[in-house]
Amino acid sequence: MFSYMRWVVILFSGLTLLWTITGCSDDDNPVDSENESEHFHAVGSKLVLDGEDVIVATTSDSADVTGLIELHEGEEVELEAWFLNDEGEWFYPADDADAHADHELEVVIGNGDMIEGDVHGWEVHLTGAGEGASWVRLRVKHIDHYGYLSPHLRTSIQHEEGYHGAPVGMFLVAGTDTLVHINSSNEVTGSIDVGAGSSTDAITLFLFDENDVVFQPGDDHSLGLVIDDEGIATSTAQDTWVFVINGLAAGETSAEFSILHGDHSHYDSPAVSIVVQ
Amino acid sequence: MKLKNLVLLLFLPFALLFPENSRANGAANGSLFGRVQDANTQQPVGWAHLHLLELEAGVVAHADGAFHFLSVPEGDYTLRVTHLGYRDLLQKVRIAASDTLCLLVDLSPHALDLEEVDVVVEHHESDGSVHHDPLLSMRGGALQRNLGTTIAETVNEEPGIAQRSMGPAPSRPVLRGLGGDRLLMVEDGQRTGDLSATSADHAVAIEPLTAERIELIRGPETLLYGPGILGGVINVERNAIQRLKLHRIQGSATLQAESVNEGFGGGAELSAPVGPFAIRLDGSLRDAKDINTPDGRLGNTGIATGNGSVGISLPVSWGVLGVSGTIYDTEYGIPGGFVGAHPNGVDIEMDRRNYAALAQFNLGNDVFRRWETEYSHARYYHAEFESNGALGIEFGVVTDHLTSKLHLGPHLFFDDGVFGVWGEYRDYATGGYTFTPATSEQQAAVFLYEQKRIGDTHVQAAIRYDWRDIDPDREIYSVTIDTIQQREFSGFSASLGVERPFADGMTIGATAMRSFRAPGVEELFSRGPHLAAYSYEIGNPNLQAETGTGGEVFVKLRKRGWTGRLAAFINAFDNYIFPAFTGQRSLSRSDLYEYRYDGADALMTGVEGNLEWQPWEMWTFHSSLSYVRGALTERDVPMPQMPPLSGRFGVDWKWDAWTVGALIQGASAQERLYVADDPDAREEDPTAAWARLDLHLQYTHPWQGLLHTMSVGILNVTDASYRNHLSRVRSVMPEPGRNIKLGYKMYW
Repeated sequence: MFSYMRWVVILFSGLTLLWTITGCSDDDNPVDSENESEHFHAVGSKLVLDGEDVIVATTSDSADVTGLIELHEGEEVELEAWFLNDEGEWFYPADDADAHADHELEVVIGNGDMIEGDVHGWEVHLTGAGEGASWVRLRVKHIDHYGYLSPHLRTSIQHEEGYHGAPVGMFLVAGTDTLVHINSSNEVTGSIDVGAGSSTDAITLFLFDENDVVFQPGDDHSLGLVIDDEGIATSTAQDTWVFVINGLAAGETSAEFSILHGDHSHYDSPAVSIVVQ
Repeated sequence: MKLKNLVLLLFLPFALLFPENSRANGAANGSLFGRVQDANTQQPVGWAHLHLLELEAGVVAHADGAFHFLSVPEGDYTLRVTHLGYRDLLQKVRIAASDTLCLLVDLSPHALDLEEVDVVVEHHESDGSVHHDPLLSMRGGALQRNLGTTIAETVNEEPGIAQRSMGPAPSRPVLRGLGGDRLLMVEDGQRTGDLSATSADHAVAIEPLTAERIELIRGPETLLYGPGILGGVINVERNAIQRLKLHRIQGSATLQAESVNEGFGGGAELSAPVGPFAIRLDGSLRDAKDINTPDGRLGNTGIATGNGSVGISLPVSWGVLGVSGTIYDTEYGIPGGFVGAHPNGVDIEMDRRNYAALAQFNLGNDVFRRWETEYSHARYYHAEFESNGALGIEFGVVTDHLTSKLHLGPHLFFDDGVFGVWGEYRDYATGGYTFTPATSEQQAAVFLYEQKRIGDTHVQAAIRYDWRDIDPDREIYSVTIDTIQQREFSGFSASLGVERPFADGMTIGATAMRSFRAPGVEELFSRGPHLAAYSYEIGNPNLQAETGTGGEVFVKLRKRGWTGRLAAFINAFDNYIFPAFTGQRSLSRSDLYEYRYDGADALMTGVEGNLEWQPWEMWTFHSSLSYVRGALTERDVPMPQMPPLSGRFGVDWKWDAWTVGALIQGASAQERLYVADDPDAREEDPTAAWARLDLHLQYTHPWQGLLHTMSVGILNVTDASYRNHLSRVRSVMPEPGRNIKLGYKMYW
């Protein structure tokens, strides 16, 4: 026969057991560690050109940078910015743009007289501006604060004859005559004149940089030529930088010239007048 | 085997152990009745607090000074009696079976009710030893007068104690330069399950408003609580589970207001007998806005806290069964505006649910006196938000503790002691912008604490063995910190304390301790930004355990009109684990400085003392001084975050129910500054010397059968601008400016 006290003891023991069983399971932790962070987190970075690592920076115990960004004066490169997560895996944020939508890549330039740069998405565009050694740093901004900041990525800009800077203007030459000149302020002097039913002589396009170095871009570039009214005139390419204009009917139209590299343009001219008599 | 299975095994048999004809009829228990009176006037002293220390049970005397302890197991006990305006009194009593001991307790008036203790030996054959002698015991009027927003603020004026802070809400005490889990904070003797020990932005999840007593324990007794606590243990007593039958309804209500942050707090606690049960309820609310400093308002330092607990127990002749539940919710801000900080600060929400169960059995044996088993389950959640409301980081910790202690009477060579086992299972998870892995921890310990009095010499000794297993949910390779994988630690701790009188009113003593401390999850596996700490924390999964060897010699003075204590100490650490400020910004989070967990040999030496002089009955002069010097011995550089020399001098005047006092406190400049082992590293910022003046007035008056205590304090009277070296926000703003603090407490 149980006494009153014994029942009370049993009640307490039962309550304790019930509470112990229900209150002690692992799954009542209020935080789920599986929830991925939306923050960008990197412990290293590298710049990649055409699948090849140009420079690699890892930041474990101390900043550790291997490689060098080497450019000539006026040379321009487009590099993919890759990042290393803490588990040792490299990732390119553009591959998962949604996950990094709130993040923005910036490039910090050491000496702007030597190297210039800007970013397009997760690509870094660097241009050798002047001879000398400098550095750039990659920086990732998240809304109102900065996250990853790379160590100094060393750059070396070398001067070499024949190298030119970015185009700031152009001119069109037929024989020994300069038909059109566009200065660095995009002011156009001259026009292309052609008779209806005839064609111009071969016209060659030249570019010049801010140091007035005249050049034609390399083979990896192409000329884009768009005539506004092809009922008045058309163009025929004779070489990469050589073309003729064909007058079709009397009137006046215009042409715009672009220097294309891959899927973007390095130079876009203002409208150049074409007069068909 | 998980803890819950252990609990099943331990608690189930209890119901079957006690047949109906056992001691459950109470025949083997006695009672203690008595009256408290003023030693000079023989007038009754109402509302004195009386504690039987060995049982951890207390009552409050009636308005006429009468008190009753019912159904007390046979045995020898230490009765501690405290009351505002009187010296604390320790008295040995023997409770005989089926008998009632009647006692007249004389309290000696005194202007302060802090440390002084009268010891009376009575009803005890062997002169007895003091079982439990905390270095600090703050309750009643002293607790009310010092009551702050946090426990750290409440005990901050005690010798050797400094306050680590990052804004007012998350402050935590530091003793002799030791903080974190080297100075353990427990509630009713149990760990809280919070994360306050791990980071400066994490608040202590204990509300001081409804605390009944705050005590600081040092020496061998600390090994009852943990292995690596050279600093000591701060125990906040709420007595949620009452251990003795209650004779009447008793309780208190507290109101508090302060000007410096337009803060207001109120709380109440009530204990009542309901049939055979003892029920205790408490609750409190606190709200405070931003802190004002002499240099302006420190933004985002408000705090709002709600706290409540309920406990029900069944004190019977053979012991106690009880359960309790506690809720603690708080929201507070961490200020911004300094290097690495979010400009508008960070907001933190934290809640803790704690459930506890106690089974105590009076074994009725001279050697095996009492067996108690306490189990607690804590669920802790803490989230840190950016000012735009975005979640930065969140922590979830679920902890299960089990403590089982066997209280021993005279045995072998010893007078009494405690043998126990302790276990903990901890499930730790983080979310948001952090990469510390989810981790489960298991800990277990076995400990033995013994006391012996040999002539006038009182000896305490303790030994403890701890094992800790830390198991991340998966093995991860980290570029930053190496491979995160399971770690296991084990080690011994031990302590010996000796104390004996050597001259009239003088006692000398010494304590030695070896501590063992396994690194925590954060120290091992952190690898990422900590939003509210404004730090980038880098753990070290290869850390080894920290061991410390400490020693202290002290002299106590207790002569007519004079009391004091002077101590010199030395603590030497092998592999002292700390977050080393590298002085470098993280490259992964360029707006944050790196803190890299490291272990290094360290040496801390210091002195502390307090002296109190009562030349006349109404006047008391009191002072204290403390200094600690810490160095990392291999590099011979100062340890980080060391408090400077600090001191206090005060005078109190007591007349009838009035107490008026003034206190000047201050600290020297701190120019011994830690700097990382890197030529480019930036060293800690120095702090200048400072002093401030506080005034207080307290009035205690019984009225309508209730005891009313009112207090007014003016802190930092001169509105001095000063900075706390242990504050992480000291570069932004100084400490609080002039503060008028009002308090009211009513006991019934």
